[in-house]
Amino acid sequence: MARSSTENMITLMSSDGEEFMVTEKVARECTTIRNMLEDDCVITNIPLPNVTSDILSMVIEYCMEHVAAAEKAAAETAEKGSSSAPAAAKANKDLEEWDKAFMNVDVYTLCDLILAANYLNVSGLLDLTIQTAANLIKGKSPEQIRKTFHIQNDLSLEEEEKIRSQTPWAFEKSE
Amino acid sequence: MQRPSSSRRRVEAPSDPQSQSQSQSQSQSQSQHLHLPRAERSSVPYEASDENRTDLISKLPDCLLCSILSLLPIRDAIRTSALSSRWRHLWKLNPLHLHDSIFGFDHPNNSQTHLKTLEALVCIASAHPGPIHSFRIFHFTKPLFLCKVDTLMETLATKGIRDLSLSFGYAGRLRYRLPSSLLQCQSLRKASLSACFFPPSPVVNSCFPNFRELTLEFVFLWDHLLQCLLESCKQIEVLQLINCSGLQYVRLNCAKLQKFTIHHQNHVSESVHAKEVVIEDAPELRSLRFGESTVNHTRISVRNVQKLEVLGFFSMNATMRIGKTFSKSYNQREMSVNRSMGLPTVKELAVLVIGPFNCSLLSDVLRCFPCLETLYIKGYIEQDQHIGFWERQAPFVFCENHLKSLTMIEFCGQGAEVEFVKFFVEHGQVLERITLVCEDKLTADSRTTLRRDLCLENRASMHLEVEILNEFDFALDSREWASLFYDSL
Repeated sequence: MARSSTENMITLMSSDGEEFMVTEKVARECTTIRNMLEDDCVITNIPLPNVTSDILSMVIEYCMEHVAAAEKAAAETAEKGSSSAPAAAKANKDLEEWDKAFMNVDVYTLCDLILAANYLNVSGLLDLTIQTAANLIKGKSPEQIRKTFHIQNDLSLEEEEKIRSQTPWAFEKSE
Repeated sequence: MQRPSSSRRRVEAPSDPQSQSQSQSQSQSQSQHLHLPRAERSSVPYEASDENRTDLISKLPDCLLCSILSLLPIRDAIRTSALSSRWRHLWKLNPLHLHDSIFGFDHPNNSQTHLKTLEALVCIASAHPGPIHSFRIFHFTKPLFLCKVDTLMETLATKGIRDLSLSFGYAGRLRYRLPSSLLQCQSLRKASLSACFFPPSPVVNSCFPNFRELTLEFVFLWDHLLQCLLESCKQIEVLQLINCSGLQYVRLNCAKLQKFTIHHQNHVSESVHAKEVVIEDAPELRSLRFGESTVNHTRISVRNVQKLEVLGFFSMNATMRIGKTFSKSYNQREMSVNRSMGLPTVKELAVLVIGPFNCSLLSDVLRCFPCLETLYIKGYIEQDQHIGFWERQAPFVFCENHLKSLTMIEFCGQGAEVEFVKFFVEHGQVLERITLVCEDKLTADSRTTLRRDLCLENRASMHLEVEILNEFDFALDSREWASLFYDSL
């Protein structure tokens, strides 16, 4: 990633005390941080007590990738005067592929990422993680979902039976 | 995990080699023992024990779990209610959008499927506390089930339904009587009602108080009913009457009406059409669409045209009056055109050319639309006496910097018709697209000949593209106009 020396660097500190130096542009991908920067423009060190270092590093990785993709698209548009549709479509597809590979995580990391994306307000990452979670639920039986997410079933047999009998068609096998 | 986390750390935190090696060991162990590296750091809050971590998803706040459920089909969302007590009522927190395709069934003739779907819909609607934002139901053809539909409508009306789409069978074989609970529903903003009928007019007086959009299809109406309806729908912005029978003299006075469409299938008997449609006062009117057969059978008159953007089908042989610009009474032979009262707001125009007509009249008509961006011409303009006419014409004002798209429907590729298109090729300075819709699929040879005849080398616009389509492709491409003359849509 090209980084000019004049660009502002911001230090983000995770809950476990690790420091991450990022460009202001990358940091601004997080709406929560952007709002802090707009309130106080000289701020350079931001503690994030709700995000652990391994999750924060993933959020930063996501933001860097998306900033780089946006910069590349902008540069191409500026160069050619107008963006060519097939090139833009390919770039979009590449980014989608990247997102897909990025989401190849276990469910714990996924849940932590959802919380972090929500707290830092990274809308693209929140949409991506929420959609990934939805995909993990879709088409599965309650047993399978519990297994996937390690959900503890605290319903009694009778209660569960009652819930199932209220909407029996929801529990039939999908076509 | 394939993520190159070590190299990432180097970029992110170059001054911290310790964390780099730590992260490497993490990424290796993560794939098998995902919670272990976190547990190593016991100082981190909310990670105190493994038990707390195991069911992490259930610990997400309601709003995030609801976002996840909102992305699922309703069946999957309801299925999560059996996961645990945490999940039991979560699906009910999202506004409901219900569609009768929830089971993925598409067998309109299978009554077992119908009954089952209907019962499921009733069940979901009554279990959900509301609001129910949208509801769609298609092809229920058994009269036996209509009492269940009544129950459903009552539930919807009490739970804040906003957008309703009802369709019960086709072409009058079965009609559903709209219950008064629905008609007086305060929350309803938009409805598309097909094969339904209204109760007698006294009840109708205060119905649909907050309506914005109303589409009626295969609905029997009468003049007084429509008038009462519109008087009570003060906010109505879109009104579409499709294949509705029973109207004779329609008068529209709607302060907020922006879009009005009236259309009948071709080849229906003349008696089905209204004799006259007069839009007396609709100062916000932007879009005015008539079906092909409506134009031929109904006298149309519009007074407010100050904001009109979309107009069609316009026919020079029809009895119509558009503002002060065009008028033709029943016994008048030819339309009179007042060129001093142009319609500069109109951007999209569809002209129907039927029977013998006068080319200079067409030219006069088009000159009344100085800012036209999209033009559709349907019909034949190939009479022999028109040969050479367009070559002698001065270009239209809109050719200079407005017209972007010209579409010729039922194009035959002969004589005056080709000259007409050539005229636009030569003068359309910002023209982007000419679409020629031919009845039969043309052979490659005839396409080449057609393109050669258009003399594209003389084109005024560098960006011009010519497309030759059959009717089917065009109908898919331009559904809104195509639906006005292709019955199957």
